[in-house]
Amino acid sequence: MANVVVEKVTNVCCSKEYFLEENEHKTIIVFNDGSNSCAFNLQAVLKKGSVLNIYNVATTDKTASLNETIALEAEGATCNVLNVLLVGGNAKLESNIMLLHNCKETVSDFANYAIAVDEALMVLNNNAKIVKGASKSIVRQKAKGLTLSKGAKIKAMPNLYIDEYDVIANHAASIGSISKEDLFYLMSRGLDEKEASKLIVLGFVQPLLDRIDDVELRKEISEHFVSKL
Amino acid sequence: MSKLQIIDLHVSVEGKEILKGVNLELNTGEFHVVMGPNGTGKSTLAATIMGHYKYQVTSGQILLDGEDVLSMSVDERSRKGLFLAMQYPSEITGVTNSDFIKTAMHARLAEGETLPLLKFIRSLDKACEELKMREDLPHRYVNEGFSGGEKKRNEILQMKLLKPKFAILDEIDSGLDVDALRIVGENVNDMKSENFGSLIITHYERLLDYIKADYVHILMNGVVVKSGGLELMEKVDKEGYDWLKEELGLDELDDGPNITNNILGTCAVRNAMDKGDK
Repeated sequence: MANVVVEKVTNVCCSKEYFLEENEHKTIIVFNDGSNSCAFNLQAVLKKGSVLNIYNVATTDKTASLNETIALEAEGATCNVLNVLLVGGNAKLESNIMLLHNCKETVSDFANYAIAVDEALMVLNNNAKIVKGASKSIVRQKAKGLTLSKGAKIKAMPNLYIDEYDVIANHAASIGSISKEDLFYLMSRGLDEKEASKLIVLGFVQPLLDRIDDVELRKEISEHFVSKL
Repeated sequence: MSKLQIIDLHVSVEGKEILKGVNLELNTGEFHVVMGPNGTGKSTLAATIMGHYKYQVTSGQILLDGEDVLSMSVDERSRKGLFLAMQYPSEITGVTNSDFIKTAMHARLAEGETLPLLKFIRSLDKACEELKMREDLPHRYVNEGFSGGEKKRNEILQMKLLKPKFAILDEIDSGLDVDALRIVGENVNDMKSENFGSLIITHYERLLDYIKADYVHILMNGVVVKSGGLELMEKVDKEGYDWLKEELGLDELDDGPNITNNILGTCAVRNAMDKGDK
């Protein structure tokens, strides 16, 4: 049975460690609501057959960072990371995530949905490492970035360090303003530009909301995004 | 009854003239087919009617019941009753199909009017069933992970629910297998009424096994060079366009040395433009 931990990031610095036993399933929701400038550090070790889901959520206009290292230490260990991050003002939000595939037949799936507004800067430093011998491991990395003003910037570094041949590894990153083609599509169905833009932007948050069972938390996160967009 | 008029329409893309004086007149209750070799402006015509940002109208008019369509924004054109079923519809992450269609239906309502949820769900379910679409479709993100055929059906689903006066179907038959073609064709055909007409862009006669077209127009070198009935389509299907070029004394294409456009057609025009953007 999966268990869920919610880490509300409010302190200036916060560090957490997680050890997942064999076949343990856990979901960690890290939520930075922007009330403080803070650094959140997480280290996790996954044993055989364990599954860890990490949902990193931030809606902030204060400089902050997420620093996470997840070690997949035994066969069948799986880690799914979903970043849904919004940064505004003059802030810098940095996400440094490292997924270490230290054993064969380990799986990681890492998706980023990033939105930057005002003069803010977002840095997505995405890393996955497959060591020699970690055959039949699978790594997937995806980053989609949306800059909603001229001064906003998103930098994505989708890094894969692979020292084994028999693996599946892919990564993709796309960053830009709202696609004109997408806007045209929605507007051609009668939505005005403002409404069409809103749908597209909130669409970045929806994959996260779909994964959160807690109705109150889902509502709180949704309201934070709506209020800052 | 409504009327859509295209009068001496000239359209350019990045300074290159694609449409060079197109004239067409459609009434609701009529299905018009536009055919033509690749690269002659069929998709340009479709996108221009809907107001695509890449196409500049240099002269001419488009009128919907006498109203100037060219002065309307894209969304206004839609709300006035125009619909474009696209060749390559966008994928919108995080927006479910049902939310998108519901929002689009809301956009059509008068101020203070509401769309009862139950009524919406019933009409969506009914339309999905008629198009034999997967049951999970309302909960999937718009076009994301859809097969080519599913995307085309999704375009027709939107058309059925938004009930436009005129639908422009831009190669809605491409990428469809035989069964899907029949389903899509029959659904379009069923919409034909005194309140609905269509401009159907296609390369193939097979779609018209299911859609009862009234008029056929051949577009070449950016102008409508011949109009007629279904016999015209049958002749093109059997003999191609060479006889028409000879009859009209047309060269292969008069676009000069732009090889990309000549060989690959409208899709290539789009690709070439995309490259230009980068």
